[in-house]
Amino acid sequence: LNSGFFLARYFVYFAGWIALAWTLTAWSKRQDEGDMSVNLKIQRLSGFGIVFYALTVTFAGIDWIMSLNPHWYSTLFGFLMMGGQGLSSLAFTIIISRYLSQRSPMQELLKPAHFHDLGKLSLAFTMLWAYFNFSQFLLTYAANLVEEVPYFLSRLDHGWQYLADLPDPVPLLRAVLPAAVARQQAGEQPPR
Amino acid sequence: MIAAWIIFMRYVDIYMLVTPEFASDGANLHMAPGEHASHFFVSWLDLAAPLANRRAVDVDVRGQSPAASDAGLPRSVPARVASKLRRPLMAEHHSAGHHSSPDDEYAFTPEGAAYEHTDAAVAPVAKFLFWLFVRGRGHALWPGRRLQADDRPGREGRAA
Repeated sequence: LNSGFFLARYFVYFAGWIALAWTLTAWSKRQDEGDMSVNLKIQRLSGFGIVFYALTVTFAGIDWIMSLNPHWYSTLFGFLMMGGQGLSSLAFTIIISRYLSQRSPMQELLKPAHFHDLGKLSLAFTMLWAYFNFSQFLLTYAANLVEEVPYFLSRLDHGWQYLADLPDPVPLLRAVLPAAVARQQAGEQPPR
Repeated sequence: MIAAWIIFMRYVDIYMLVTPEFASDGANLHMAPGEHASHFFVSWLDLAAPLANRRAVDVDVRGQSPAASDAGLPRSVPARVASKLRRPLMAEHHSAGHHSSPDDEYAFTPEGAAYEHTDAAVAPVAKFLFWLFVRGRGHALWPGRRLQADDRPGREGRAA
């Protein structure tokens, strides 16, 4: 963890992510125009990209967040980053899809079934994210190691406890409520 | 509304991960001498930075998506295709960070607490990452080969 290597990794993360995003977007446009020769290229790059993403987001999370406290460490941190980013991406997709579903031409393409599926996936990612976070807290609480507990103690005092209490109504809003809505909507759908 | 709430809670989550490591004047608590405790604070930058990301929505989505969708709609992907488709690293910090040892911040051990030493072996981790890369790439290519065979022009003609 020195300045030069930190900046080098910083460059590799963003260069890789930007290159992947630009290339996949360009090939996707060609695919929409009927060029099927890019199918294999997209799959090859996506196969490499998902491994590259998993590794880089883990290292980026350690570099940018976990290293702020050089004494504390968590072997779950990379998964926490990935789960959280997946959840944010899904939530962002739902909001944008909702916006586009009210405007042509996506109005004819985006149906309620798409939003049902996005909602179910979002619920699954919420539970996964909660699982990762609770796993970390439970292990730290149970082990009571002097290297680990200060991380949580510093977030439960000096005013931070109020922000930590904020998610308390979240189990209701993010797990129970979506599940109830999904069950109601599933009941309204004709059997497939 | 629930999606917007999830994004807001993710922002709070990131805020809780990062900000308690700093004092309200921006100094990293672990680099400062003496007692450290972060008291809750909010900087205007914490609110300005998310607003700076509005370009993704304003320009990329609102500005370009309808045109891109219009262009792609008549020639979208056919259903047939779509269906297939450690510690030594802390030395630098401590030399500049007013800590006499890696553990002086934790000199006081609470009653009942244990202590754990970490001696991470890098070689098995590197071997696992290499294995993960090779296996992940192999799995991603397998369906691609099959799709390539199905999409090859003139295949039906030669078979006939």
